[in-house]
Amino acid sequence: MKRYEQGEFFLEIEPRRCKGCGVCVQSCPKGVLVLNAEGKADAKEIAQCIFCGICEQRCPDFAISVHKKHSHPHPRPLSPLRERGEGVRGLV
Amino acid sequence: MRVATERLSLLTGAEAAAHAMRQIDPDVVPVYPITPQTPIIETFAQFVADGLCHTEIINVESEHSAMSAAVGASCAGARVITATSSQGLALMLEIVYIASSMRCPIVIAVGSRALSGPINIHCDHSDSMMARDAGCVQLFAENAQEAYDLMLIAQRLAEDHRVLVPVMVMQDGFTITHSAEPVALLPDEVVKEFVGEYEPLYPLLDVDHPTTQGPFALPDYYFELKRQQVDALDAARTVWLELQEEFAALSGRRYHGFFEAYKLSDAEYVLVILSSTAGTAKVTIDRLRRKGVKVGLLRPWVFRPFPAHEIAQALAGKRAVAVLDRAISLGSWGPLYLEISAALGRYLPTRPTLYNYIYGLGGRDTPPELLASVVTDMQNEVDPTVLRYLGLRE
Amino acid sequence: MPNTKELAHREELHKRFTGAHALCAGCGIPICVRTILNAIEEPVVVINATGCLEVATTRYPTTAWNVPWIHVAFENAAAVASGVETAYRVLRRRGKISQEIRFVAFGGDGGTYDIGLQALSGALERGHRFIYVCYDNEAYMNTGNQRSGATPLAAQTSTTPLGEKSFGKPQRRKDLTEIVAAHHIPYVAQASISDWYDLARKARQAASVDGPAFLNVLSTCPRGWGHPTDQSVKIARLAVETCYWPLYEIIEGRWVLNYIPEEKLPITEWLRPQKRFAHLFEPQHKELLRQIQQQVDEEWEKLLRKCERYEAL
Repeated sequence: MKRYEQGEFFLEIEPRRCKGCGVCVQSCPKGVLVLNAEGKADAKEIAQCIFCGICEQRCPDFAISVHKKHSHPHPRPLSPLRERGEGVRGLV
Repeated sequence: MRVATERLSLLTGAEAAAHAMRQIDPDVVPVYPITPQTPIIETFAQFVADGLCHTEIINVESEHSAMSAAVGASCAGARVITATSSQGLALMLEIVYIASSMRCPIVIAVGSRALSGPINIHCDHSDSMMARDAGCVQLFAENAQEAYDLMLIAQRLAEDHRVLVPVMVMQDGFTITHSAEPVALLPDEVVKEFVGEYEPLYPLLDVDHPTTQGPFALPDYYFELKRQQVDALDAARTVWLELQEEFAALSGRRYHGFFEAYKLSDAEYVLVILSSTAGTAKVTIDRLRRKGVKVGLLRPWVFRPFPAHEIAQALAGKRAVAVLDRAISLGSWGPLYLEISAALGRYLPTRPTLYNYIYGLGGRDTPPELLASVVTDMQNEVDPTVLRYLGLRE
Repeated sequence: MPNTKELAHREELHKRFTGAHALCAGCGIPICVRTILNAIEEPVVVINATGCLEVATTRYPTTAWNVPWIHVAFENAAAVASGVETAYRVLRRRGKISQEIRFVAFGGDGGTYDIGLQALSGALERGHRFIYVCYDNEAYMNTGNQRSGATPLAAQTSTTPLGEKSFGKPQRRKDLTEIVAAHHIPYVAQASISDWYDLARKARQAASVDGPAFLNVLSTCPRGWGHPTDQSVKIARLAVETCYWPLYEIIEGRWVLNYIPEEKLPITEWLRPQKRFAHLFEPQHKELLRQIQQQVDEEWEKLLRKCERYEAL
């Protein structure tokens, strides 16, 4: 997980989830994002970020998210298995 | 089969099944009409309209949607029953396989009817036989009383946590669905207590514990998931036997073992047959017995899971057995014959001579004389390698 | 009305649909799904038809869903949803469930326009309270881009390939939104992944009506349509700006237009960036291009006449 801070806000990008589609790069109104040498999203110009959240909402893979520091809501606990995307004991 | 003499009602098999449904009071009944099953759902619809049960009927736009809605409702956590025949069963068959794999305890009332083509609305067993590989328990009723009883037993059998697959209850189209007979109905409270409440394991509507049901399985998992269904059908054997005890205590009617054995123990010649034509067979057997012919009947109630070992044991030492099939597996022989043949081959070092007769397709009537001719054939030791037909104009 | 922050916040509290699925890079479907699921306030149960979404998100034993989810077959999402929704009403009536739950069925254009049309029609006519979302990527994409009833005229697909004797799909696509409207359900809407606020609002609206609701959402497919993955949202937007895929609602039978482009772009703007239409720019297909533009224009005019009012967002 890569974290990019700017004042009260920060942006997180999970390269393992990122498929390098570039939709976030295209969608960003401020040109904050690029695809790096590994083909993954990178917040090269974090100083320009206005934390509008469009990149987060448009990412097909949940690879990018924007947050406000100190008012981070307590997330509903998810089973660790689910977070890793591993086996759930579903009905066969 | 002795019928309890108190509180008899004159009911068709369809009405009897509808009464069973009324007393079970399922949550959801998705249905689509098809002859000869339609009186089941019409009678039931009237019960619902009169407030005699609390079911919600979904009048879907095809049988495929009936079974689809049934799976949806069942996985949601509801108790579900549906009814169909012939082409309807064929149309929903894709989803019947899935219902079994998704472990949905749906009870399916079937008015046995011939599969097209040509189109024919009368009785034979081609429809249920078509579905024999789908992973459902299959029960066959001889008459209206059994149609009623087996619907009740089916509900418990399906919902047992060791089983949890659909249970199909067959009654012969027109012969039973549309003919009125004396039927002893159990009191409503007795049925309510017998079937109890459905306790789903993973209801979709439990939003606090979400599950993913009906996922995509690649070659590394599909095989194991199918293997689990084998265990479900095996467990049905145990549960069926357990339920007989309970049902006998309530009703005085006992479904002992997996088949009716009529004058079987000392028989030299045996007729094996499913459903209503067994009635004609018993009359024929009585007549032949009076002439000194030692003939008996073996009539399975349970076709799936197939009670191979039990049937083999019952037929051991007989001189000859004629399996009468009201369906044919085109390109091979009759489905019941194929099961019996495999059973005898698996369990008996020496076997009775086994014959196969196809009868009654498309509702063709089979009078006692024809059944008597089968016994004569056995006595004359005709060639068992020939597939024979009863009542066919060749 | 939902905004990005609100949707993001709700998702943070309860991620209903997560990543690590196998949908293609740049796929429009997850954008559609997450926008809709986050916009609905009540707990949801998802019913999914066979297709890209179902296959890529539930490879046993993994799953991308944190809500109750069911898949049965290809053509029956609406019928399965009918059963789930009926069970809910009955169990609620019997006192076994007390909370509000919303039912959302997702199907691709294949599973909705074609093989799923019967089940959809039946469910709509019976009036079940559920939301049917068609993610329309204009072909059977999961199995490699075979044509569907939603594939536009002249599009290349693997079953309507370009050849000596063929210019792609010879037929026009059908208008499913209009077919659904003919069922007189309380809410029908057309939306696009490019206009997420419009989509989120429509999802919220759909969840609030007491009866069936239908959302037809244009969902780009970089692989099938033949464009770079980062253009997904842009191309969906061009569909709207050329009036090929107008944004509108039908609320209790009254047609409401949600967006009129300031400048209606020529259909070539929508066609040009997609490889599946590349052949249309050859000289011998000039007439076909003209025909396509004429069809778009006629449909747009008809829509303008049908719409009683214009309500932008």
